[in-house]
Amino acid sequence: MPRAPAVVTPPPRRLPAATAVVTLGLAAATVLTLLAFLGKAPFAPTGPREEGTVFYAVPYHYGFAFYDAAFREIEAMEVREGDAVTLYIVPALALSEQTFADYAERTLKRPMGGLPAGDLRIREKIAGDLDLGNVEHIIGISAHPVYVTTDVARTLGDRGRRADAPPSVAEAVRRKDPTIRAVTFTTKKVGAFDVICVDSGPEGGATCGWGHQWMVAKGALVVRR
Amino acid sequence: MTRPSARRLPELRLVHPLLRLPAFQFVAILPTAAIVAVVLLSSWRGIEHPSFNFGLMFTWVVWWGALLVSLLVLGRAWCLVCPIGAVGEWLQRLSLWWRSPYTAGYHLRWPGALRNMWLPTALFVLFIWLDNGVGFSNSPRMTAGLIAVLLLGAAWVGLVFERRAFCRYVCPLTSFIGLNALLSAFELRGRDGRICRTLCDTKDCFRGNARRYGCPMAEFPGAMDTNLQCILCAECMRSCPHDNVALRLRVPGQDLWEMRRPRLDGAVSATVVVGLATVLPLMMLTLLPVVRRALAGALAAGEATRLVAVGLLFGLGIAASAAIVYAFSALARRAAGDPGVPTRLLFARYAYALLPLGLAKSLADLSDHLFRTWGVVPDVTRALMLDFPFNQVVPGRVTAVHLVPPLGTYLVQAALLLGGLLFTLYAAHRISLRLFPERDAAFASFLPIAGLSFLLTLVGLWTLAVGLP
Repeated sequence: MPRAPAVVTPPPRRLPAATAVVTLGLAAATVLTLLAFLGKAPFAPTGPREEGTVFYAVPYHYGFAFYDAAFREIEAMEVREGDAVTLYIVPALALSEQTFADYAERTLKRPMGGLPAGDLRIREKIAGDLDLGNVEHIIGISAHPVYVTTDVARTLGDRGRRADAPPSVAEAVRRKDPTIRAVTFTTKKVGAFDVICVDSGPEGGATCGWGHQWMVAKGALVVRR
Repeated sequence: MTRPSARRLPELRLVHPLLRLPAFQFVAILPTAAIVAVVLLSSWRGIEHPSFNFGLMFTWVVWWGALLVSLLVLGRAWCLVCPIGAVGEWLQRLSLWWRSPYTAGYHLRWPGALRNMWLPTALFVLFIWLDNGVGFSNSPRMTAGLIAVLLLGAAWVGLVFERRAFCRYVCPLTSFIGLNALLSAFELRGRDGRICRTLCDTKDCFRGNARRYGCPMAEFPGAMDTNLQCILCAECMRSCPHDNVALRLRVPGQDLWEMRRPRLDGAVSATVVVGLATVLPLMMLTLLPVVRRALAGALAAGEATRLVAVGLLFGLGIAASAAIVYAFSALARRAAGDPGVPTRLLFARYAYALLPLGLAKSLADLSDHLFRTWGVVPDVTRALMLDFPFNQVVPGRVTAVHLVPPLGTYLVQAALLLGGLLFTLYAAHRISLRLFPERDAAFASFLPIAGLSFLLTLVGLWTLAVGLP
């Protein structure tokens, strides 16, 4: 085999100006990334803007109740396509013991998990879930950017209830109760969309316990043209 | 380079023209760069639900699974298409694939004290510890943060140091991927060692020339005897003026027994990689509750306790893994009855033999995850398509599809572990023959390592069985 002639290849020429530009660019990218993850960059994810049509949703074991801006209970939240909506989530467990019990009684009116409507074992299931610490819900609206996890556990006392709980949604809002969560979104599609309790894991691992998989408010968000 | 003892299998001549294309690596990176961009956006801005977040699910189920499987067949092929390492290279070269006459950066040599696998192994352990402690792989935001840190880290290291110092000496995956690439069924090597030694003065494959760059991983293919640092970019193939580099098939795992200079850092790293998959799950299952209870009085309850407890067990588990392999190497030395072979050498060789078992256990862990969460892949894809690329929309309820029942999953896992055990036994046998010229001494030395392999397999089978109905 012929011997290849040795050719000295000059190394690439260094460009100090390019190095300076790249260094500055990288420094800027690093700072922006840091700010973004601290939530301080202009393009960082934003929280609720609290604008548009206001609704209140009460997730309870195991269902939802909805209210309009005047705290009138409604079957469905009706808006127009393109509307901004701010939804306040008021967990039933954040309300007084009696109010929570009233909401939970609604569950008994429906058949659930193979148990007929009115079966007292549903009540036992709710009590069992509370004993297990299954007190939170993850609220989602299908096809919409709504995904809110409640944070009520830290306000509950040893008995699993709050000492000075507001008796109603309106009172909780008036008091600016710390358990209230809000989300603002814009409706982009026409139709009726379900409000659901999204389970917490791919295996259906429950955040709110036994009944979470039946926590579906069918067509509770109605978007009209 | 050319190993007379190695079994030479055919070259893959059909793909050589593809590998020689100047833009081969760049074109290979483009699709993964696009996917990584979507993964980064969706995990950073997208829905926080782990089962609806495309970035999270793609990273920890699809990518991780594909990576583990690819290691067996293609070695470090992920590094070939990884856009993270490429970013630093592009900035440094001021080019995407062509040989630029200019360069940016400071081109410092990587510090001598860090020219080993200690740092990447420590970073790998750090990541696994954080994942076990705070659930990195369950958090879209932390996943996005990890990708961003890796991207910026690769860019900075590429700017300051020469070649792909990040990929070789820093990337937390480099020790895991590099070590498991030793099991691969492919290798990129020189065809004829005499040409490299006697006919080639320029060593273009290492230094580069006017048309192409030298090896970005700072390997000299003429002396390379393992896949440890070969990212299959084929730059050596393109720059070699003698057409003396080829991609070929080989006996899988050949590097484990054929490597000429097994290094201690690599061997320790191998025990860490294997220990994380075998010894550590055992300790977590048996000791974590005890350690957490013990710490409960000293630390505030919550994640801090868990993080510290997991950290303690990690330290203990890694030390135990290395100590166990060293102890069995000492037994192997005693059994062989040859005082001329130091325990350290036996440790440095036999530690690599355990890699197939470690990879098999990782695959077994993954198969359980994959069979249980398979239904989520269409869920996250649907969620991403509803709001591309931000992934902020809830697509509905999570689909729970258990592809295989728990017992079936366990049988698959057991089969994987047994496959890993056989592979490890074969590698240990070949290593023993290399260490001891006499077959009796070799066999005697092999027996304790075989015993350790059986023990680790039983540990794996037991930890996988916990929780079975």
